[in-house]
Amino acid sequence: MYRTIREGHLDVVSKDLNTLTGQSAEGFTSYLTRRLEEF
Amino acid sequence: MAMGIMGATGELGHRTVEAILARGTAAEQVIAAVRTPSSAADLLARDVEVRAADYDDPDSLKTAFACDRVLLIPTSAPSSLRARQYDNAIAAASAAAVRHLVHYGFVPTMVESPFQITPFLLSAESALRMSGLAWTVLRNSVFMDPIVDWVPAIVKMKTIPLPTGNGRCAYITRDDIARAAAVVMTTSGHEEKVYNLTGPKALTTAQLCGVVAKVTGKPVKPKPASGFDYVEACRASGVSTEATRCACLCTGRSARGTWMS
Repeated sequence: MYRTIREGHLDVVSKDLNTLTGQSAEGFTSYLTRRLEEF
Repeated sequence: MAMGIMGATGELGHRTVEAILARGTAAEQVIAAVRTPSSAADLLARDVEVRAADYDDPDSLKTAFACDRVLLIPTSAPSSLRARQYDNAIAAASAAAVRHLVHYGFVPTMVESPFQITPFLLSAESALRMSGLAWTVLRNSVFMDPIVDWVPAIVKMKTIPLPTGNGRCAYITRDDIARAAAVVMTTSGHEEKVYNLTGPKALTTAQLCGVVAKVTGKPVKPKPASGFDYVEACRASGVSTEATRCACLCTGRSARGTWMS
């Protein structure tokens, strides 16, 4: 895990969220776009 | 099944209560365990039971934890104090016959990690495992929310002065973490499991700059930043202390390519 983080491959372990919720985690572009109207 | 949420009025705790209710859980089954019950008026109005609970007050925890499952959310206290708070919580949960403890942890929970709160994270997970209670750990990645909160200032600075070097991180939204926790809190089969909750892709700060530039249409470009640059930028733009603390804990790691660890 430590090695995985160091190499920046956290996207590999994000499968846990998909497994639990049945959905992908929201990405930065989507989240920023969704919240942009707040500013 | 009654379930308690510690810190239910906090940024993550409140979202978790919302996510649990969104799954159709009866409000009467949800207990908001909070230090200041008057701050949970909105939850009370929705028939969520609000109980006083303070990690530093073991008696309050014993009363608040009269339920089947409890979600523990760490405070922002120093590591050694957090560890004592968790000892209080686990002892209270045992005394109250809680069946299952769920803990919000953090991804770099490993002995070799230099991350500043790692001693607490290791201690908390060990204490859970030795408690004799069923347990589940949700190891979260770094929150995406504070970065987006910072976007108006980022546009003015024309860069994101995060001291990450070329390190990458799979930032995740609090809402996604809350949705995952809600599943664990409302379904079975998660005992003795550790889940790593991260965003969909690990990004460098340069990549974050590219996204902000594209979405806002403003010139935001990567620029090398030190921890000092970051703190000064936060101070100038009034960024939350949470976001500042989070990145400062990581400062100095980026030079070795260990932003997250």
